[in-house]
Amino acid sequence: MRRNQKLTKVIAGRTIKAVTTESGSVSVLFDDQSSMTIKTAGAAAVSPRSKVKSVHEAKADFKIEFEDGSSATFCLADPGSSVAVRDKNNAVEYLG
Amino acid sequence: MLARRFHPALENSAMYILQALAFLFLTQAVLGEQPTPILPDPKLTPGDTFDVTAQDVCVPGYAKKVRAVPAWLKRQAYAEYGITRYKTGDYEVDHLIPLSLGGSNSIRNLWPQSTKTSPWNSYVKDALERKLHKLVCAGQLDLKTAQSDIASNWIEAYQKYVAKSPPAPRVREANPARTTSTASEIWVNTRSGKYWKPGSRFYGKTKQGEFMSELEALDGGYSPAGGTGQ
Repeated sequence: MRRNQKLTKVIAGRTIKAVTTESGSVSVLFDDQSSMTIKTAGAAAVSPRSKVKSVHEAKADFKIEFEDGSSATFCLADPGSSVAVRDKNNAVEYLG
Repeated sequence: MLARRFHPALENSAMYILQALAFLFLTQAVLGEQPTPILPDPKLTPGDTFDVTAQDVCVPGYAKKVRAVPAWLKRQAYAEYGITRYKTGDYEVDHLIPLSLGGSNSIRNLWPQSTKTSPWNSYVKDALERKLHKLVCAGQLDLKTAQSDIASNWIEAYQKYVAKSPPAPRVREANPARTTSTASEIWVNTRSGKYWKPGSRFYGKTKQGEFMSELEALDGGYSPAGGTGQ
């Protein structure tokens, strides 16, 4: 699975503080108060307190690898238009 | 000395075969011609946007943060339009609603736009995109209106916002760097995020990777291996 270099640079090192899962989307709040929303096509689970190591993508498959060796895999609802990261001031950091 | 002659029936048969082959060749040539859409097919490319505001898109550097069209998605855009053969520089995979106006990288917002058609081509649309971005960021045009107008018919939008008459025919020559062979492309190790230039040690040799232009690699957040890619 190909590394999403652009998104990895943005969120690597951030620790997940809270996760909200709704039908069709997952919202992640990081320890620096930035947030990430992922529109998903299926169920997904992410554990709080995990520190992001890298992000990988292959078409609709979206995988976050964590420093502790665990990972979370999602199926994106619409590749290229499913992931949004905003900083604590709500400024765009990444869209894709 | 008499020239050797075949039986007339045989000569006729040979002529028919030659004619049939010529017809077949011409048919293939015509059918092989690729379509050159000036407007996108609204069923394939209705346009798609990120959930952003004018405030978001008017921040300098915004488009760079959101530009991410992987090679497979570009190939899908060409395939959906039936374009199977093309020269580098003939088309660009265009965001119907440009990133600068909140357009997304979804396949629903991507289409292969010709750089060769005249007068309406990708360079003319670029001028419209710049104009609309300027109007939106000056507060003179609502972002949703700009998105809707360019998605419904970008030529009409050009005539509405830029000029009534089409621009003078102008087809920019393809970037010479892109018309050369794929040897001009760099090799990205998609696992490490580093790229290698032609002639370097790991060019085309890492387990995971793909060829692309250096600009695409930089856009994708990749960086040269060892600082130079050599």
